Parts: sequence; C-alpha cells; structure tokens
Amino acid sequence: MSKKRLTQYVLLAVLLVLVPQFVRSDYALHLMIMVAIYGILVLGLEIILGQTGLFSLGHAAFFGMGSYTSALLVMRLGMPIWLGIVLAVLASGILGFLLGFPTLRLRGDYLAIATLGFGEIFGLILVNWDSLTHGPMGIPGITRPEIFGVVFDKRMYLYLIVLLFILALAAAFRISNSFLGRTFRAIRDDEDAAEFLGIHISKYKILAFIIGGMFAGLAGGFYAHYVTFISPDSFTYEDSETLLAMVFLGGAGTVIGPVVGAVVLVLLPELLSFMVQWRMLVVGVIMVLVMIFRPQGLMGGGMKFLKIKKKEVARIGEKE
Amino acid sequence: MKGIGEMLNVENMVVSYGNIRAVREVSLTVGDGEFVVLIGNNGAGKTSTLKAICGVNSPSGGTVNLNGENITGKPSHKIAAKRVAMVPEGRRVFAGMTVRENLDMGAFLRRDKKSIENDRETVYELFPVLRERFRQPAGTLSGGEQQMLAIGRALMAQPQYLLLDEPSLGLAPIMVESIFEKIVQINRQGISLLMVEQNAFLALSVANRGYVMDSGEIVLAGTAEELLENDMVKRVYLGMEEAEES
Repeated sequence: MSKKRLTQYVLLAVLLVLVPQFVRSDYALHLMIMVAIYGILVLGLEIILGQTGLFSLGHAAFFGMGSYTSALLVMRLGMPIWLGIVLAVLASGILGFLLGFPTLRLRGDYLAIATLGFGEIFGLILVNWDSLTHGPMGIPGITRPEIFGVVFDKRMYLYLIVLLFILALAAAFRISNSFLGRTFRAIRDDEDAAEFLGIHISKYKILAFIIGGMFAGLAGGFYAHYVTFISPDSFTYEDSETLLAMVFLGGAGTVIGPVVGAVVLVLLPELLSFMVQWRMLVVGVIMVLVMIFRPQGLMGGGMKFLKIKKKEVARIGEKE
Repeated sequence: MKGIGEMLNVENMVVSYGNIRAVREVSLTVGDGEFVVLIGNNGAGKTSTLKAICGVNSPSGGTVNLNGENITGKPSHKIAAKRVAMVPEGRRVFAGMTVRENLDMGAFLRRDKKSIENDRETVYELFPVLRERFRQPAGTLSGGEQQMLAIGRALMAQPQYLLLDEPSLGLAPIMVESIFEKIVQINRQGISLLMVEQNAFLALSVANRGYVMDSGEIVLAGTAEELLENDMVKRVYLGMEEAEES
C-alpha cells in the first residue's frame, strides 16, 4: 500500500469516526444505518445479479433467513449476538445453496420466476411455522447488543454497521477483482462460451448464490438486533424488488453502483416526505427517467453489455 | 504427449431435437495434426455435429472417441479439460470484459502462470491487433477482431483439437482471408482442426480433408483436392462461389 493510499484511508477512518459524533438527530442516524444495511444487501445481490447475471427476485429471503436465524439463536439458546450473526451469515449461505441447486438449469426469465417462488415459499414458511417463528405475529423484543454493560444506542449501532459495511465492501471488491469475479462475469456475458473454456457453470452459479446469500445474512443478522422486532412482513417480495431496483438504478456490474442505488432509494423517499402520498410517484418517475436516459445505471456498468450486446455486435459487423 | 493413433473419432453419431433427427449416423475422424473441414448448406447438421462432439448436445446414438477414450455425452467443461477447444459460431466473446481478460479466461483450467504468459505472447504475435487493444472491452471490437479474440481465447487453453464453427460468418471477404491465413498457421503449429464452414471453396483450399454434409448425413468424403475436383461439389457448393469471390 502506498503512503498516499494509507493517508487516504486514515482520513476516511477519522471522518467515519467523527461524523456520527456531530449528528444529533436519531432520525438521521437511523437513515444512515438503513443505508448501510441496504448497502450490504445490494452488495450481495450485485454478486448474484450484477456479476453473474442471475436474475434473482428472492433476495429478501436471504435477508429474512439472516434475521430470523440470529434472533432465534440468541433469544432461544442464549447465544452471544456476535455468534448469532456469524451463524446467520452461514445459514443464509446454506439457503443460497438450497436455492442455487434446483434452479441450475434455469436461465433468464425462468430463473427470475423460480427465485420469485422461492421468496414466496420462504415467506410462507415464516408465517406458518408457528412454533418456531411466532407466525405472522413476528418476534418482538429481540436482544440488543451491549458493550461493557452499556446497551447500544443509535450512534453505536451506526459505528457497528459502518464497520460491517466496510468489511462487506472490501470483500465485494476483492471478489470482483479476483479470478472468481472474472469467472462470474464470463458466465454472465456468455454461459455457453464459458463452458467451452472448461468452467463448471453450475458450480459457480451455486457459489454466486451462496456468497450473495451470505452478504444478505450479515445484513439480516444486524437488522434483527437493531430494529428488535421482525415479522414475515419485513421480508416480502416487495423488499426483493426494491433491492433489484437499487442494483439497476446504481448500475449492475460495478460493485459501487448498487451501493449508490441503495443510498438514493433509501434517502429519496425520506427527502420527498413533504409530498406525503405523492412521493413514491416521484420516485417512480425518477426511476423511469434514469432507465430511459441511463439504462446502464447511474454509475454505468457491465449490464450495458449484457442488455444490448447482440445489437451492438451486429452493428459493428455491418459497418465492416 | 503425442502418439500414433491419437485422433478424434466420431462413429455413427445421431443427434435429435425432439422428433427431428438433425444428424443421422455421422462418422468422421480428425487425425493428429490434421485440418479437416465439414462443409454443406445451411441446416445440413454441421453445427449440430460440432456441438454434439464438444458436449453441448448429448448425442442420442453413436460414440465420440478422443484418443481412444469414450467422451460421448460428457458435459462441455469436462471435454474442454481434455484439450478440445471450441470457437462457437458468431464469435461469442465476453463483451463486458477486456481483451486481456478474455484471453486469460481461455486459460481457465491452467495454473502454469509462466507458460500462460508465453501463450498470451504467442496469441498477440498471431493477432497483433489484440495486443494493441488489450485493455478495450471485447464488445467494442469489430466483428473480425472479435473473431480473432475468440480464436485466441480458445488457443489459450493449449488445445490439441480446435473446433471452429463458421469462422467466416458475417465477416468482410478481406477479413475472412486474413482469418483463414491465421487458421492455417495455427494448424502448422501442430493443432488439429475441425472446421465447419459454408464457404466451401475457401475451406477446401486450406484444409487437408473434407466431409460434405447434406440433410444430416455425410454424403461425400475425401481429400480437399478430390473434393474440389468432384462434380457434385463443383455444381452444388462451388457454383455459388464464383459470385461470392470476384
């Protein structure tokens, strides 16, 4: 690491430590926390959708799996919270495997429908497995983390989630720049051609679901101990859809793009709250405009090639 | 590595799509170091044959033998591991990745860094334009350059057998000529080639041997010279060629 790089990181760290100290309103702290939670969630979806090109409409299920796992383990078995969150990450990874395995042969739209069904099934299990999940009533009063006997306040939550977010971001960049990330993108760009090179497509697709699921599990584990109340309503199709919108708005295939999408889609409805019932309409219009004028997303990205690749190739071919 | 009797051998292969038999009992061989072409009209079953050899479609009958080992119906990635590389029809490069990344993906199964680097140099020497554009996303290359990249990527796997599906498709005549020159060079380096091609004249003028396919069957086989002299080939497949050349 160069010296310049190092000073940049130190400055960033100082900034991250100091800024929350000056934020006085709980509401602002809450929004920042939600941005970070969604940030981790979309980093996971980015690996599944943006890098590997697997259209997943069931990401909220991984989020829910993480939340429920940690909440139940901590409350029923009295596990420490950090262990609950670690196991939440693992459980969501396993769920990723369970989703990836049966849907291997599906592509594009069919995969989207299958993941949609998967999310619905997960929701139904949460509602109906009463003895474990409390059904539609949800789980109230989830344990809050403590440090030296002091129960976490919003500012401490913020520090923790920012730390987790930075870890997740570093991991996502690491994966994207690695051999693994390149393999994911090869599968995204052309599955058949990738297989001709000896890539075991199924293995890597499952791996993408597992890794993406683990990110969501991390966000979920934290979320449960932050909001202290979870119910099946927190992890519905609508949430999956929002996550999908964040990835596309920011720019699928860019790592940082989906995070920008998360920032915009968490904050925008809040900034527009003076419009009351009109605000979601405005958000919708903004989404439509971005997709028309910047289909590759705010930060640009690989999805551009994914969507219009065929046309582009044909055009270049004709010119010749 | 090479021994006598090393060959790709297809025997009585049948490929069906539902009730339709696209390939009917096709037999062909590609010997070590040979350049074999498979010619025929659109829909004759050439591509289906190639795809079945490299495991995209599972043959419903017959066998594919590689150096004496039965590889019939194995998945593509396993066949790729046996040093059979495929350049699919229509180029199919990884559009969102750079030229260099595309080439590196070609070496997916290899771990010998030094020799991968050497091979990348060899590919750059074969196709200098790829060196110039190594940082460019593959999707921004011209059609001909993409074809070069697709071939270069396949070479990065150090194949013993290279299967080429219609490398001339959609390219300008001058580009086709230069690509074919390179393909001949690749064959001279000792890589056995099986090429599917609609441009019969061009294909036969560079290959050692050829097979003519029609309606899913091989109707004629022989050396390239024999086929070029054959009346039926002249009439049916080379007749169109005069208009195309000029």
